[in-house]
Amino acid sequence: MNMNSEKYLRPEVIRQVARLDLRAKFIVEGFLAGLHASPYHGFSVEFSEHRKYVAGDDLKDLDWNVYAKTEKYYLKKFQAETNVTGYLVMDLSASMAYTYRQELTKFEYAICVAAALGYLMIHQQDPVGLVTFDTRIQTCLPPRSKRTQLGTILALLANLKPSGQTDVAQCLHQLAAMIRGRSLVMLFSDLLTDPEPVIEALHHLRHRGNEVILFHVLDEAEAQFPFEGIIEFEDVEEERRLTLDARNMRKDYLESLGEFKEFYKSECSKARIDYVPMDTSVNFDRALMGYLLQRQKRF
Amino acid sequence: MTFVFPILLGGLALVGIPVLLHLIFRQKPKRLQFPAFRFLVKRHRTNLRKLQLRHLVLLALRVLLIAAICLALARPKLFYAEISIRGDRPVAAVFIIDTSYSMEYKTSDKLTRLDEAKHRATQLLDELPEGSRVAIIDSAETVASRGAWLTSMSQARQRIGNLNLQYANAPLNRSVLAAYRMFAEMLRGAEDEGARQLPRFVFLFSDRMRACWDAGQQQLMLDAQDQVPPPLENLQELRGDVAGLVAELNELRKKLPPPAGRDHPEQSLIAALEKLQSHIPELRRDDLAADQELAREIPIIRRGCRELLATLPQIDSKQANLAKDYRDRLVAGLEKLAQQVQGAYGIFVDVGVENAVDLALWDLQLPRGANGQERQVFNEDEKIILRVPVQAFGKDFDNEVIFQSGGNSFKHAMTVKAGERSTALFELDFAKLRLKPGMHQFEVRLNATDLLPFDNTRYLTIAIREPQRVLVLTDDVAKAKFFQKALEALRYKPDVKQVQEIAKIGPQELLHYDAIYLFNVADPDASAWSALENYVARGGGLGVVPAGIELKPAAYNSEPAQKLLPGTFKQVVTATESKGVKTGYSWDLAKESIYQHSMLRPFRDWRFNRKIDFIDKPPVAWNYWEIQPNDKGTALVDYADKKHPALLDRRLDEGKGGRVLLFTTTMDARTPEWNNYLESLTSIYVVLTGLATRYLAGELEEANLNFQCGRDVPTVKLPLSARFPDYIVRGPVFERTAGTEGTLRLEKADKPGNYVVEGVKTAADNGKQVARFSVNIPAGEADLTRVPVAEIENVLGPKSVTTVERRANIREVMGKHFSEPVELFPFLMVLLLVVLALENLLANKFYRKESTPEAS
Repeated sequence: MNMNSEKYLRPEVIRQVARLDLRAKFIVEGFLAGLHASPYHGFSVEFSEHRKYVAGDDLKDLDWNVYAKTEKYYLKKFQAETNVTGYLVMDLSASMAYTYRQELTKFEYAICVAAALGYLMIHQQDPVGLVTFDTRIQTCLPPRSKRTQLGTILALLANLKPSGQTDVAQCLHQLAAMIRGRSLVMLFSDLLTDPEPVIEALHHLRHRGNEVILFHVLDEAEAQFPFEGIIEFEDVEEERRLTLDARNMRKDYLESLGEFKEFYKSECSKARIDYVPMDTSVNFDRALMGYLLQRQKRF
Repeated sequence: MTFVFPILLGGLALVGIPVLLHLIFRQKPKRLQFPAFRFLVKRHRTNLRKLQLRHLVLLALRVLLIAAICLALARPKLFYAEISIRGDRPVAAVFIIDTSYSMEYKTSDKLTRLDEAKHRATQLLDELPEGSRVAIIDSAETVASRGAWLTSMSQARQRIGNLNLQYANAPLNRSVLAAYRMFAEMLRGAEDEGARQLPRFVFLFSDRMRACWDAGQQQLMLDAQDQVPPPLENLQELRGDVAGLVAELNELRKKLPPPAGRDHPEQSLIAALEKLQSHIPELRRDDLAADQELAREIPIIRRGCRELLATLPQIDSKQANLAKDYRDRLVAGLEKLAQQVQGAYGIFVDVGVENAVDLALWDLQLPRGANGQERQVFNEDEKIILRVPVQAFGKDFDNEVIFQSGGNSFKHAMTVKAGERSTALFELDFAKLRLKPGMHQFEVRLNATDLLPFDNTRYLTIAIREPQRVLVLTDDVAKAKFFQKALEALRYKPDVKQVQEIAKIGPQELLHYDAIYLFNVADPDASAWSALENYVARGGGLGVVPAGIELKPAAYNSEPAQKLLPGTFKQVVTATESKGVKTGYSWDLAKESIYQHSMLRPFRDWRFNRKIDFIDKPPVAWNYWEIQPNDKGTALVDYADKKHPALLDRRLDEGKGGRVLLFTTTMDARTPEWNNYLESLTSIYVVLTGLATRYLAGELEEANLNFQCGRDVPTVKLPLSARFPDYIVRGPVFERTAGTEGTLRLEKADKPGNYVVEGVKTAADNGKQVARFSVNIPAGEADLTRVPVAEIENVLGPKSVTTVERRANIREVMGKHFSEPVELFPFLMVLLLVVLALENLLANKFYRKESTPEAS
């Protein structure tokens, strides 16, 4: 873990994550039940039951202790039936590197949320992988449930710098094709692209039986438009500029943004996707807790 | 608008600075990266427009800020362009105050109209700037006494304070004319340069009753106005307006065709305006009065304006209704032009009341004589009808007219409806009234008083004459028989005497005769001529009726005779006879000029009336004396065929002495007949005798015993036999005057009433009554009909008549006419503060610095 990865384990971050950790049991037994609402048994590494070995079972799943005591072949059931595989999918577009006046950029904020979720999943032995993308999938870290996996994920993320344009839809289609089995896809993006193809791609993921949680991360400035006076706005991903009176523009901007978010919300609702809008002015743990509590109520 | 420090207006050039700064340091907006750019793109156009607008508003505010600072520092003062009584600029003002008796009318606050006029005039005087030139003219002033600029305001105030109602008044037009003349003189005067530059005003204070304004003098006044050029400032302002007005006028014929039978004078107006426009830059203030071009063009412009302003509102057609806006615009432009070319602004302050209530004795009307004039001399046994018209204004009246004759009074009850005139008739039977020969005076009055007392009483003087004495000197008394009868028939008292008896009569006694005839005298001697000359020189009238062929021309052509006679005797002209018919000579009545003479004046009307016997059958003379008029004599009428004089006249001492009337044919019954005058065919013999005698006795120059205040100066003709070194006039005015000639002009007797003139030989003498006369206010003065505003505005200019509200002060009364300059400094300072605050507010809001960190 280099210096960059440590950034996400700074005392305040760890404190936040730790707070989650303290509540791990609570989360495991309660929230994560809702988190991946799985038809499978068990959620943890703890043993739940044995079953007799049948031909074809993987020998490495044999419980040798039981064999030593009873000389009967039993398999540890949990090993064969890990609950859910999570994918943390991070948007690497240049816009994700933006912050106006918050400590964290959208990307960093997304990492924090992802770290927390990754921590929780790894803590309960669920494998977590990482996928980053811009116009195509850049990085793909296969899901693992090792405790070192979080460090690996964070180290990888810390070394990435969001830049350039993005093609969320294309990358999600790619991801849908790539994921085997039903997984929990947690997408972190500001979604600043045309929404229709993205929705289509999300449908694709859902169609493959994946659970999708869409974390729509916006900067506080994007969410609230706090600007005053005459400002020349410059697009981050393209060479476009506009000189505007910010105060006059605020209402129009917020309306447009509201419509945009509303569109995602309704479309996601139709596709049974969890749409979680976030802005960087709200502490990510609170945002995450809020979401998890809401989700718990649902299930 | 004027500026105390106009030079500071140069600072207005600084308004360019904000524009320049705006362009140079155009605000560089803060640049921010913003990922959610797509949401801005949608609605940025509206926002951009708002942004540009705010930029412009801010720029405008900054420009306004600098302009307001410059304007405020230049200290502008605002005034109305139409009329500029400015607080700090003196004016030349002539105050004309109506002092006629209609101004006596009292309103409910017990104030007469004159009190109101004086009050308003004083108020206005107080408002005039220091250093103004003021003249006060009242309508009773004679022309000679007018034209004085007063030296101080206090003098003017005193002059106004001393004004009283006057009986002798002229219409205000005369005063306005005097005012224009004063301005013209002021402009021409070399001694006072400052006065030439003053704005000029004529303020009239009057009740606007009919007698105060004579519309007949309009052209005279307009001509006088043309002598006063407009102020240079007005011309300079006009220069800027010409182009617009000319453009409008060019459309005139198309949009508002002239009414049938009339034409628009717009072409001459346009030409004059354009000439004036190019001439204005060459004008200098000192030369305005002498500038020929200006003197030529200004009257044309004024006339054109007047005519168009009079015509335009009358055009009423479908097309004209469609062009209503155009008409309104043009009328406004022309009214402004009319104001601009005014040499002196005329403002008529109307202090009168609408619907005044009054009953007025309008006039006293005596019967008219043959010459169409009212008779004032009557015979002892005559009965006449005195007509007394009574006019009611404002309401119906029941009243009595009282005729007072010495101790007797006669009443005539009457009802007069509002706005109507009824006439009371009084039959005056002189015999019953026992009026002896001499002059008699009467008073006619209304039985009740009203708000306007002056027109409730009128005065009358008439003369009852004794039969006038006529001396007929003849060679043969018998031959003068018919002439004597004719005179007697005409109620004269003839004395027919031999011509030689003249020596016995004596010159003093001769003066008791009202006329003398030298009738049928063949050869009068020098002593007779001398006595007659003496008589005529004292004002007597001599009629000379020639004898026939027996007359010796030498006696009439002699030197003493020619001192009196209007011509020399040449020969007898005899009518030619053809086939036993003699064609006689009749008078040539076709020449209009003969009726100038008072004796022949009645013939003017008679000549076309065939019912008159001597017109139907003109009398003829078959023989007459051809007389060559001398340089003092005048032929009154000629014989139609020969063009020889038929009647000659001579006035001695250029009219101061008496008169001599010379007939050319005989007036006796003789054979062969010289004429048919004496035949009973016509009445010409008596008519001619009557007219000649009345002329010689001075009756035809109607003895005038009744005068009108202000219209005519009472002039009393003194009897020949009663001449005194001094005369005393007793009546409403007492006057002592010396009289040497036959008439007395009594200028001081200008108050209404009955007057008696007495002759006195010495200071201690009691005096002998020699004449009487009456003075009345002119009939029109009681006319409470209001003069139409248009009549006044035709002369003084549009909107020049201002009506006074009772409680309003003069500023309110004058309204827009009175523009006290408004010091704009405080307002500009307020504006400046407001603009500054707005600019700050807007700029702060606009360029607010963000406290938050810049975009990452």
